[in-house]
Amino acid sequence: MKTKNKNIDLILRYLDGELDDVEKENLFNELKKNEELRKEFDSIKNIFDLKSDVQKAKVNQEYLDSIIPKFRAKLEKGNERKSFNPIFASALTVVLIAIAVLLLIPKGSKIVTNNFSDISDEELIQHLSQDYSDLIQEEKIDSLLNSELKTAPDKISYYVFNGDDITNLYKKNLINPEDENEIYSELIAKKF
Amino acid sequence: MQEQNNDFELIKKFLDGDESAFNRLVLKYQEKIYLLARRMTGNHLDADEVVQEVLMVLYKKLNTFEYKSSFYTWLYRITMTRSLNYIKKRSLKAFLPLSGLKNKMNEDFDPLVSFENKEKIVRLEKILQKIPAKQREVFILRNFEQLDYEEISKITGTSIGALKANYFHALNKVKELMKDYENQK
Repeated sequence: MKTKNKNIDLILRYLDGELDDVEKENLFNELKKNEELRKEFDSIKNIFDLKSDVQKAKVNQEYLDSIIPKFRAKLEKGNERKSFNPIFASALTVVLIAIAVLLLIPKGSKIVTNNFSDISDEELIQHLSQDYSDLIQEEKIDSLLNSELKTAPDKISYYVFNGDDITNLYKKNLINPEDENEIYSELIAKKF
Repeated sequence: MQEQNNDFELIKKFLDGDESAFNRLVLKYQEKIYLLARRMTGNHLDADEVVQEVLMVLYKKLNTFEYKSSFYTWLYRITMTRSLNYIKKRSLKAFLPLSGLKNKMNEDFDPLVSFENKEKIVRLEKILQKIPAKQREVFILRNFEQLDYEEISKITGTSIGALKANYFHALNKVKELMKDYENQK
């Protein structure tokens, strides 16, 4: 394995033009004797031959000309929008509090559960009215949210949008694609 | 060096309030940003979104540029980070069943100008999507941007040893995937 890796390294250095004359000659001699190395050489060279083609790739001028206007339009739109998005903020708060509630309700309470799908919406809303924010444990929230994302993605999206799915929010013009993007970015930044 | 000074000049002008200097900077590098994002994400629509994100970051964060590295190294770093974040976001989107609005752009539109072996290149783009993002990153920077390990290390913040290992794994995987593809034909 070690010899194979050494040979690949030699081939790479050759293709990068880094071998001196002696090393080159050694490689060529080895290639003549070693069929497997020859195959290895051909397959790596195949990839390298594509390099020059890739570097020749050009982008349509019409598309390039559209980049700045599109960016400027976005920038302008962004400036018009409020910096605070109440829908997004409240949706995230609901999710975080909901998770905290489920984790931190004392034993014996009605909703000792690790799964959102086990409790009714009414129960959840009732418990959301209580303030558990100072008891939130970030690590537990992370692990529960991650497992919920894996096991019950529908439920998560339900709570994120407080009972309204994203398509309805679009229809009502309450959010736009940028908001959606922001939601995903925020979820990633906070939870992954 | 002259090139670098020009970039620095444009950055200073923009920070002094000259919006056209920002446009000139973008015009100079937009094709490179697009191609890098395209190689990382593997398709036009995603690359287009990454380009817009990169420009937004540039616009908002140019005041934090410290003039220690070349502007292009800084730009590479932003493009790579944004591309990796975008790929992560894309995986999450595929995972969560939130059906957003369909992108109105024509999905068949491809701004890569026809050139020799375009089919092969597009195939390579697809193959690259099958290897882990970190390996793809070093494969692209090393092969297509022709950067040495030291430069890649500055951009990615990864040690040279780890980069070499990643490159090695990437090369072997690409080789195997290309072989599989040839056999399927």
